[in-house]
Amino acid sequence: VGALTRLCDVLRVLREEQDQCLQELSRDGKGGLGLEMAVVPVTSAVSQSWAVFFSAGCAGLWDNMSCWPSSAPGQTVEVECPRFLRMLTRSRNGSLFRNCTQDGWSETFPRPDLACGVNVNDSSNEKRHAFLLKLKVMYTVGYSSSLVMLLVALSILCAFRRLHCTRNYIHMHLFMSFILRALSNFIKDAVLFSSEDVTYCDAHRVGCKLVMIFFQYCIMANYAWLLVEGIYLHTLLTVSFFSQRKCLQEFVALGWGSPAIFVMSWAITRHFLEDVGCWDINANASIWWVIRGPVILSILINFIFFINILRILMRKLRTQDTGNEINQYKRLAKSTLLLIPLFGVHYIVFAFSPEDAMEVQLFFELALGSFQGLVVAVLYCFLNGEVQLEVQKKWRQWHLQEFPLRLNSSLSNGTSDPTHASSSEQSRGTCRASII
Amino acid sequence: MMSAKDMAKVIIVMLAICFLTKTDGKPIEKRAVSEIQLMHNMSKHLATKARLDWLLKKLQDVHDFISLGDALTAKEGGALRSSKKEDNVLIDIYQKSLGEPDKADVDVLAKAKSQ
Repeated sequence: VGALTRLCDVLRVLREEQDQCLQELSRDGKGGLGLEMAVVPVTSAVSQSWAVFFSAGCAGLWDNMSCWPSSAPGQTVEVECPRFLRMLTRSRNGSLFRNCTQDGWSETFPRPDLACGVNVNDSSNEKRHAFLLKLKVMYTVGYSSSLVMLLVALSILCAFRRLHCTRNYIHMHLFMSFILRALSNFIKDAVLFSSEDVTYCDAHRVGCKLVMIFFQYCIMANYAWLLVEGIYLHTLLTVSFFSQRKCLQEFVALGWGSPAIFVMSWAITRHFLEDVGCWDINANASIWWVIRGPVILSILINFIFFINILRILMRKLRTQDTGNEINQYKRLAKSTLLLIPLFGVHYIVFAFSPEDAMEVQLFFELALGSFQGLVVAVLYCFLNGEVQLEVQKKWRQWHLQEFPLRLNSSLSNGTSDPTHASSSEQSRGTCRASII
Repeated sequence: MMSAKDMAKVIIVMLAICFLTKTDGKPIEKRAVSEIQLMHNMSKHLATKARLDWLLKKLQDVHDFISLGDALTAKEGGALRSSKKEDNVLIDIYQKSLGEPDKADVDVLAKAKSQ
């Protein structure tokens, strides 16, 4: 695993080299052969350099890149490629030359980038940059639309007391985790890719790392709640009697608690073993497994639950023996499509894919996957029959309050008011998991 | 408890996964979570880009410096400035390759340097 050479590392090396060179040059000047000498700052547009001028020959020179010892006219001086360039190229050992002429130093030859094997025009870089930016735009659109829909859905589920039941509580937690995932993405983008001081390696403050921990936590919490949905539905279908209320506490612990444990242990190992940058680059695979492992495990478990639930449904539909076969498959397909976003089954597609499919995976999981929250909000809130009923009732109530005249007229007409009738009749037991 | 048959099934599935993904002992570049993967790729890319931009700037600086040195020696010794033109051409090329969005980076670098 090749660790990334960061710009701040390069700059540090360059600063060291400059200091060393200037020290050597001034020592040379002092212990010189009585030649007239002066250290003259040479100021160009953006940088400052120093040259030691002797009365004859070529003075020692720091040309912002390498250190040239003072030399007599007619000589060719060879220096190694500067250390900071060798950092970037790793292997190539080249040399730079200058001739010392009567009029002072000649040009450096060959050109430094060619001599030291630095590739300055990498066209694949531009393509990658365009792809990454496109992805960023797409998932920003996806997450923001998801965020709006989820907020509406969550407030609907919170507002109507009759919708409060274990299944919807779990949905609400899932919505919340989706909201956090979207929000943390925005926060991360704002903190990480804004104005970053790349010149100093220790520029990353605690705040940036805290944001990173929060980001990891939100993502893991989302996976955990997808798993909880899977566990809940699976137990509902396979276990005949279980206390839903008691289960909810355990689910909350699993959904919000377990990610905290993993993320904290990741943060601690990261702090002690790989405290590089803002913790945004995961070069050490074994540390990354602390997060990667549980995520892959939850995807795998959910996939197994998904298959098992489909199996149970298929058996049920067969034994019911209602209608024709096509109808059965239609219902099965419908429930499959409903379950995929709720369980996050699509993650299994690329969970074990090879590295070559990285771009496809990123597109599939980010550009399309960012809409998962929106799909879940639509399927499990807006299209839910109970929710629609409640919203309709509220809407009618509100309308009747707005226009009391109409209420009076409708009552006097003797028609039974549907809102009244149902509100007194319906009990809290309306919540049922309906996946068929 | 798991029966031996179930155990065998699990082992076969695990082996199949290992075989299909070829994860045996190779360093993994994949991050499993796409957001993290994107962040990783993006950060790495930006770091590389910042480095490259800086390097271009640096090489340009060295050229600048040499031509400045030439100018100095020309003033002092009255030598010909034959190579000056060529330098300018090179600098122009470098300036073109430094796109607009990179200006900010360069500014940051310039500031840090002058401190």
